[in-house]
Amino acid sequence: MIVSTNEIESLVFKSTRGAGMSWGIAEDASKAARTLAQFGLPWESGLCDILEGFSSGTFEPIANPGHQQQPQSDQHWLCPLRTGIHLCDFAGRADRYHFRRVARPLWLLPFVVDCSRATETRFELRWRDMSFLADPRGQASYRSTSGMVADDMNADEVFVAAAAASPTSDFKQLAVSRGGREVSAIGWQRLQEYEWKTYVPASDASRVSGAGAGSGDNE
Amino acid sequence: MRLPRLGSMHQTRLSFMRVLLRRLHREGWRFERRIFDIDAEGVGIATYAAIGPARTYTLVCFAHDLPAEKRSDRVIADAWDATFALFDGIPSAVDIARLGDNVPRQEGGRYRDSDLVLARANRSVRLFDDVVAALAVGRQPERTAIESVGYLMRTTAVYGNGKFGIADRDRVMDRAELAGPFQAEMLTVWLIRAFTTDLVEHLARLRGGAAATILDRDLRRRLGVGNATGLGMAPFLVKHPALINNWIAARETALCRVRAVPSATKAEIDCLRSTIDRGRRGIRNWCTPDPVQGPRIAVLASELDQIAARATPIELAKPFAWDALYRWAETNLSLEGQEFSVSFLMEPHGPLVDTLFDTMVADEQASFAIDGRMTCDTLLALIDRNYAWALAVDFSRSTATQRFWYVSEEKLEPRLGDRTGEPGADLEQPLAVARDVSDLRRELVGRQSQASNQAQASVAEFLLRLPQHRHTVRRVQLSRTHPYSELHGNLVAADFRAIDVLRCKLSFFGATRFDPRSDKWLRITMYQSAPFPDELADAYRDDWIWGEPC
Repeated sequence: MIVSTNEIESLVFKSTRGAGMSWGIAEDASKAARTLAQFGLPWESGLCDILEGFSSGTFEPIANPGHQQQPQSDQHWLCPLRTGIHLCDFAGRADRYHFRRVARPLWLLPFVVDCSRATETRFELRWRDMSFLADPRGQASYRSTSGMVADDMNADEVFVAAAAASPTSDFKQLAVSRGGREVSAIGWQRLQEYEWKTYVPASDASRVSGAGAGSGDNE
Repeated sequence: MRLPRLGSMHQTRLSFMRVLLRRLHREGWRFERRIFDIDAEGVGIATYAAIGPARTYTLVCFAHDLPAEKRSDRVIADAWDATFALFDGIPSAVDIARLGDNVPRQEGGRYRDSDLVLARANRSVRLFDDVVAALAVGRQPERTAIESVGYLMRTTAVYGNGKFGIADRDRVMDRAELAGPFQAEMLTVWLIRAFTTDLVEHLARLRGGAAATILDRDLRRRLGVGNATGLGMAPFLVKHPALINNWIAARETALCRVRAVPSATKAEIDCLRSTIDRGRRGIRNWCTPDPVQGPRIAVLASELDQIAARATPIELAKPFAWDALYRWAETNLSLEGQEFSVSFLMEPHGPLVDTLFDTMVADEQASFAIDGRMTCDTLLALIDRNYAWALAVDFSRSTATQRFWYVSEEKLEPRLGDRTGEPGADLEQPLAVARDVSDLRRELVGRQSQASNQAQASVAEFLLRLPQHRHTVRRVQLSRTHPYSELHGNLVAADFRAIDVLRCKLSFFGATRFDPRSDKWLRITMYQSAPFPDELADAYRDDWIWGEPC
C-alpha cells in the first residue's frame, strides 16, 4: 500500500490521540513519523507497539528531569515518544544521556535529529550495535554490524551524546526521499483502529446541523 | 485578526488565483485541449494541458450523467456531474484509465504522487441547461442570468497536498510555478472553468447541429467557477498558524508600503478611480439572501459611492493621499468597506506589492519545536501580551463553550456540535484556542502563587508534569515571532460564525461574491472576468478581477 507523507502525518496525529495521548504529544509523534518515513525507515509497526504499550500501561512516565532515565519497575519500559520529547524539551541541558529499558528505540531518531537541529550540535544515538549520527542540517547516517537499520522491539540501554566528529566512512547516509511510501497494510489498519476512536458517530440531527446544511444546496 | 474583520476580507493583488494567472501570462504558458470525447448525454473524458517553460500539467476531466436527485454540494455526496484530477505531466492512456477507475469515486479512490489535485463539480441547475438550450438554437443566453448566477458549474471539493495518496506538497514546492500557496489547486479550478464553457458549447452543438452557436466571448468571460465551501476548510487556519501569519503579514506589509508612498502619479490615480468604479459595478451583481451579508452589501454599495466622491484627482494629488484615504475609511466605513478599501488601495501598486507573494509560504518544521528553556514566567507574560483577546472571554458562561469541533465518523470531516445537546464533546478537536490558552494561563498563575521557584521553572519541567498543555504552549511560543498566527475569536462560542473563517481563507484564494447559505457554509465565485486559456496571451489584463473598464 502506497501512502503520502501527509496521510502518514494525519494518521499518526489522530491515532496517537486515539490511544489517549495528549494533542501536543500527538503533534510530535506525527512529525517524528514523517521524519522516519522520509528517511525510508519503518515506522508503522513501531508506532502500533507504542500505542498498544501506552494503552496497556506498559510505559512508565518520566517523572523528573535528568540525563539518566529508567523505569522504576522492571515490568515497565520508557516510551520512546515521551523520551524523545524529554530529550528535545531539555535540549542543551546535557551533552550525554543514558536511557534504560526503552521500547522501540528507532523512534528516538527523529527527536535526536530535532535536538541536533535545535542545538546546532551533532548527536549520536546508540543502542546495541546500532549507531546513528544526526547533524544540525537535519541529516542522519547510520552504522550497524548487519549493515541494516535495526527496528528493534526494545533496548535495555540507549545512549545519546554530543558527537564532535563527522561520520566515519563506515556510516551510511540516510537519503531523504519525497513521494509516496510503501506501508504495511496491517500496520496501517491497526493504526486506523486508534484513529477511529477520535471520531464521533453521526446522528440524524448531526447530519443536518453539524455541517450547517439547512438551506437547499442544489440550485 | 478579529473574526468580524477576517469575515469582511476581499481579494487583493496577492490573492492566489491572480498571482497564478500573472505568472502564466508572464511566462507565456500555452494550453492544449488534447482530448474531448463527450457524448450527447454529457458523458465522457476531456484533457487540458497547461504547458509552461519547464513543465506540463494536465487536467483530466470525467463528465458524468448525474440524476438530478443525486446532485448535492455537500461533502457527503457520492456522485457529481464532473470529476477532475490535475496530473503532473501528460498522462498516457494507462494513466487516464487508472484515473478513470478512481477519480469518479473521489475519496473512494486511491491516487499516486503523479496526481497533484483532485476535484469535483456540479452543474448550476439555474443556468447550465438554459445556456445549452439557448446556444443550441443559435441564441446567446440571457446576460442577466449569466451575471446573476456567475458560473456553469461549482466545485464542491478541491483536494491537494497528499490527500488519498496524491502528491505531497513537498514534491512540488521547489518548482517556481507551484511554490506559492495553493497554486496547483488554483490552476485546476481555472482549467475546470474552461472545461465548463467548452462543455456547454459542445452539448449545444450536438443538440442543435448547424444552428448552434458558441458563447459570445464577452459573455463567456462573465462566467467563473462556483464553489461551495463548508466547515472542512475552517480548521486549516488554526492548524497552520505560521502559514496564516505569513499570509496576513504579507497583506499588512503591502498596505503599509502603499500608505507610506508620499505622492501619487496620474497613472496610479487613474487606476484607483477606475478600480473603484468597477468595484461599484461589481457590487450590483453580488446578491445573497443571507440576512447578515445582504444588508452589509447594501451598506458597502453606499460606502463605495462615498469613496468615489472622496477619491477625486485633487484629493489624491495631496501628499500621502493613500494613507489619508485609508485613515478616512478606517474612521468612516463599515468593516466591509474598510477591507474593500485595502483591496483597491493595493491595486495601483503592483511593483510595491506583488513580490510579497514569495513570503506567503512557511517552513512549519522550523517553527515547530518547543523552547523548553523558556521560564513559566516568560510564558505567562507572552500569554498576557498576545492573548488579551482570549483572556477577555468569560469561560464560566456556558455560551462561551457551547459548541465543540469534532470529526464525523461518517464522512471523516470536521463538524460543529452543540455541547448541551449532542454527544461527542469528549472527542473534541483542539480548535478551542481561546479556551485552551485561558486554561493554560490559570495553571501557570496557580503554580506562580505556589512558590517563586515554580514560576522560574522551565516550560520543559512544566510540560513534563502537564503534557495536556503541550499543543497550547507550542502556539503561545509561536506567537512570540508570528504576530498574526492566531484568529482572535472564540471558535466554540454559541455565536461563532464559521463563515467568517472560511471567508478569510477564500479571500486569499481570490474568491468573490460571498454568499453565505448558513453560518457554516457559503458559496463563492472564482475566476469571474478572468481570461480563458485561449485569451491569456493576447487579452490578459492584470486587473481582470474587477471586470472590464467602465
